Amino acid sequence: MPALKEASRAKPNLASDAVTLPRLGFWGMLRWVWRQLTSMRNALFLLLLLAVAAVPGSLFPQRSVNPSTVTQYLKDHPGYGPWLDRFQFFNVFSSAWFSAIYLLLFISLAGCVVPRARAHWKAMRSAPPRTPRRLSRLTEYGTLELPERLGISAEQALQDAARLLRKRRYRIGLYDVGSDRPSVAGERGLIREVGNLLFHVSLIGVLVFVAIGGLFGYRGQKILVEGDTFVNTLISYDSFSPGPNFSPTRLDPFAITLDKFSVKFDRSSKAHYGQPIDFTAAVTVTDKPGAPPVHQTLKVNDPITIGAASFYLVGNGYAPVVTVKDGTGKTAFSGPVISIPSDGAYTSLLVIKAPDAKPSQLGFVGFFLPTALVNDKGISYASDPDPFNPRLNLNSYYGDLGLNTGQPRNVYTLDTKNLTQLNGRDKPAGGIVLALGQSYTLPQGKGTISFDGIKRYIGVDIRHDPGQVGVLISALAALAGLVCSLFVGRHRVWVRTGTHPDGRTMIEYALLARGENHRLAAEAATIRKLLQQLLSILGTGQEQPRDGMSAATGNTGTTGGTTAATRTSAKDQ
Amino acid sequence: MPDINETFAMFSERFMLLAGIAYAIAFIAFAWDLVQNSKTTRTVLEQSRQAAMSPAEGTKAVVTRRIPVGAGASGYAGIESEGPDLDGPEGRAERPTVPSGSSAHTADDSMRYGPQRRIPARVGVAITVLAAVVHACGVLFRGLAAGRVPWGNMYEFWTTGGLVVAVVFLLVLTRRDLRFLGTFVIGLVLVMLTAASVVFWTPAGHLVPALQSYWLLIHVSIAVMSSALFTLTFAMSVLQLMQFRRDAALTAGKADRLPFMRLVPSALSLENMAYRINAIAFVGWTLTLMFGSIWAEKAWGRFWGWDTKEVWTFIIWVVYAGYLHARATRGWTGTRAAWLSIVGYLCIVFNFAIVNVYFSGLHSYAGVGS
Amino acid sequence: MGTIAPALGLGLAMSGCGAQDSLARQANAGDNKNYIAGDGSVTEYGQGERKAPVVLTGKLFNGKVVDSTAWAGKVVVLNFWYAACAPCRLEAPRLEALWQEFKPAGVLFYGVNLRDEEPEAAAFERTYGVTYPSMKDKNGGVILAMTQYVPPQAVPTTLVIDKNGKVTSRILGIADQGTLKSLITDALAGK
Repeated sequence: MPALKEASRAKPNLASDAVTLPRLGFWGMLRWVWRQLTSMRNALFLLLLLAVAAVPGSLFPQRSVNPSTVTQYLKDHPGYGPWLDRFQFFNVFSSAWFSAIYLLLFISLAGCVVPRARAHWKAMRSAPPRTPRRLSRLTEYGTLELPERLGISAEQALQDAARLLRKRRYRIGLYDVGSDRPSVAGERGLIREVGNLLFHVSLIGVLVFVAIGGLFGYRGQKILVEGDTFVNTLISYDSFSPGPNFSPTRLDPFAITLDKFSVKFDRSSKAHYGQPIDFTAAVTVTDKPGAPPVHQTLKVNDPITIGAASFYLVGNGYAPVVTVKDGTGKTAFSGPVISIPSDGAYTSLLVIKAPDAKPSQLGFVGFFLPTALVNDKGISYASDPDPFNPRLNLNSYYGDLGLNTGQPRNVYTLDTKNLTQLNGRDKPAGGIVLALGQSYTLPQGKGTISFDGIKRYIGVDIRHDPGQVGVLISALAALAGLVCSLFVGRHRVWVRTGTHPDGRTMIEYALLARGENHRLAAEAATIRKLLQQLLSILGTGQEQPRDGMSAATGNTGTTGGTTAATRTSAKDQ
Repeated sequence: MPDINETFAMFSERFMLLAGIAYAIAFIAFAWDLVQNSKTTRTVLEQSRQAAMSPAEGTKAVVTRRIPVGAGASGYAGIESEGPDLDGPEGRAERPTVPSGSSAHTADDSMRYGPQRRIPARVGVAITVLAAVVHACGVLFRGLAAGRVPWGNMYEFWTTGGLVVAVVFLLVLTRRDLRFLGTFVIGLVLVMLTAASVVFWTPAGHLVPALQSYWLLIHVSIAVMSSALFTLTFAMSVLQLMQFRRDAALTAGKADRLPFMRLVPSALSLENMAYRINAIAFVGWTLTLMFGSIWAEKAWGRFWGWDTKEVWTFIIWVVYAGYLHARATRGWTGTRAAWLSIVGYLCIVFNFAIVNVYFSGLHSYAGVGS
Repeated sequence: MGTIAPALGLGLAMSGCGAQDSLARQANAGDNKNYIAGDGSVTEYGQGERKAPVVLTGKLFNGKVVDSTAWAGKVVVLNFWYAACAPCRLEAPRLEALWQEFKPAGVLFYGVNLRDEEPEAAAFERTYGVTYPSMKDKNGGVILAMTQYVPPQAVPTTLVIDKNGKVTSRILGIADQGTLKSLITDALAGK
């Protein structure tokens, strides 16, 4: 990961570029922009800018997370809300500015990965670079000398060193063999750069597969009351977000019926009394038209996958069953009503609309309390999530619900603009409070309402993301690349031998890290030790004393240890 | 689902309290170590000044210091010019030893243990070990009480997080002498334990269904471990900046206003060590992000949804990615990179403390407020 | 959600089509209307494009079983609706008028009710004087069967089925009375 851009840095400095700019013409200008874009400094700037640009995504409600919170936010902040919307602060992660940053970043990345991949490909196929003339300039440097009596020639010592390096998994190259100062060059850890490139290419892969998922996938929501069936066609969804390239024919036709939804609340712990500990939905799945129905269990953290789509349990609540009779005594509405829980005790908001009531349409808004208690101010509140003492507390209205014009209306709110209130705490008739099985007669002969039963519902997400597997594979590849690029040390080693005029065989070696490598000193010490072992054993046979080894642990700070066989020096780290 | 064992829960809280007391003592010991060393340093410096004035006394004051050049990314950093005759093996067999990086101003750069005995620091480490053992018992009993991994709410995140910070610190201590971080790290653990007990205290209970997944074990533990490592590097980066300024001041011939910093290695070696630890922590954070995505796919039907917590996890990842790149960028000194490391850590703190409590989102399991 | 679909690079080029725009707009509206609306678009299927003859059974609110085998030789209009759906309420009188118009010609009209229980559906029918029968399809049987032929993709959806049992046209959203009339006429003429 570090130093990705090192190789492709723009060589000329900015000032001189700026001066020559007018003469560069269009192509020169383009080249200048490209060089700027692919410079490490600007890539880093874009990267940090990306982090900053993501912040508003956590401060403002996002359409991609929940569009109705955005609608509400706009309603609550009519002043600056629309301005924020204009600058896409509610769609941060698909906004032009956020996209611009990450696309520039990825272009910059590609513009740097490609030349580096080419360079590294060449490096991998060619021999390690030639031995520098002045090895002593390198960070890790040391020398060994073999007395003449050992009878090891410079050539021989070099071959031994080459064998040693090969054994330590270095790629090696021999230089100046046959001359009086032959040398061997070794290189190791090329996988570091491979990992580096793999990491960055995989990030592009992640982006591409996320894009594929976004383009061809879909996501929808549906609320299912016990007994309800969902069929995977658009007509059955409550809300639906397609990718730009989605086609409705991609929906696998399957059906899921919610048979029963069971909730378990904590009853053993005093401190967490009433906290949910289990949600289980028993469902019946029909894979395709005509297929036999199969019973399955849907749980949180345990989705059901049918064909390419998956089915997730993401919410639940109560659906009180209510019957509304109108002023003529006929049933205008009958069935379960979805109530939206607002706290842990399932204090749930609900709205009932009876557009077919006569003589006027009826609307109700209020709360469902599973276990209702009344406080000393006479206000009801929910005290437990289980329906031990269920109550419906409602206000009622009559008039125009606004449904007859064909305009879509929010099913969870009652627009009271064209409605007249009948019941409420501040009305002479008071509010409506219904226990299970009770009914209430509305004032002015508008009708009756009864609370007949309780069902539970679940909120499910249905999703298909064709890019998901690709994202996972890319992410795993990125991880592998990251580990290689961070923890493999890449370095080169050179050993040069020669014969001193007095007959001694001289060996010098040096190591050079490419990029971050904190193990270089240890590797230098190891190579030194191995060289000593190898040469003293090979050169003099078993009787050769080996007490010089202790001097060779390079990083202990000992320097210039000498023995009968080898006089040595190692540059202290 | 097993019942909550209230006795174990009570044990757990006793252990936490004892651990807190022990950490407080360790904190004092580490602080004392710093104070004592600043005194010693002053004396040493005084002596060396005298020695420099009268070389006859034989104490040679080593004043060579490496100036931080680049980031050590290039192998050539810090090479002194050599004599002219170094071309070949027969040129010369021995080279003079370059004095190692240590100097009178900073501790040994290798961050290995030196021969010097620092009694208060030793006491501090010993008590920290004791505190960590007691703390571990506290966390263990919390888990036993609830019959699950003890990181299901804010109280548990902070107590477990504090333990991981302490243990990671002790583990690193076995390899490197980072006792100079003791006051900071143990201070932080103390803050975490106090915050957990005072602000976030929640009695032991079962997990809500959304958290009932083995991914809780994997995702959260890796997140906490990475955060613990980032904590260490944060401290190092802060010290690096302080050391850098101190170095500059000393080079300019000004008085040493932070003598206890002599215990702390040079800015460059702090930077290098922080980089190595950050690299590991970054891999950990990448795993946190990936495992979180896999879990999110199972739980919420999408692997990435820009939930508040996800946004901040992403921001932290990007900032540390920037940090890793920064060291290889021309014009970006180690000092600027250190600032990135600090900003990254502040994002972590924000994500851990503020987002969990004040932002609503899918990750709102803090167990506070309701 | 995965709509971090790279808006600039890949998204723009491909998001041209109208129906998708309507869906995306509804997705972003956040209005909690709780159904997928149609844009009134009409699709006619030529002789060659028509799928296999529709085979389904359903149950009317009055308990009678409807079997598609009984539709042989007749033109059938299917309308998918439910009572609280605003566009369905606007559309109901038009459908009733067409039903009255084409009843003598032997055209069959069926509603397919997606969400309601009997009393609610009956109240709706009373309000709009709807006299053609509706099937209760809370269990999704009819919709699931229809996914094999021409899936209904919005509320309301209206399908015209020819004398051979094949779907000849589909209207997503509120049906225009004149349009639907000509679609039925075409089906009767065997076009």
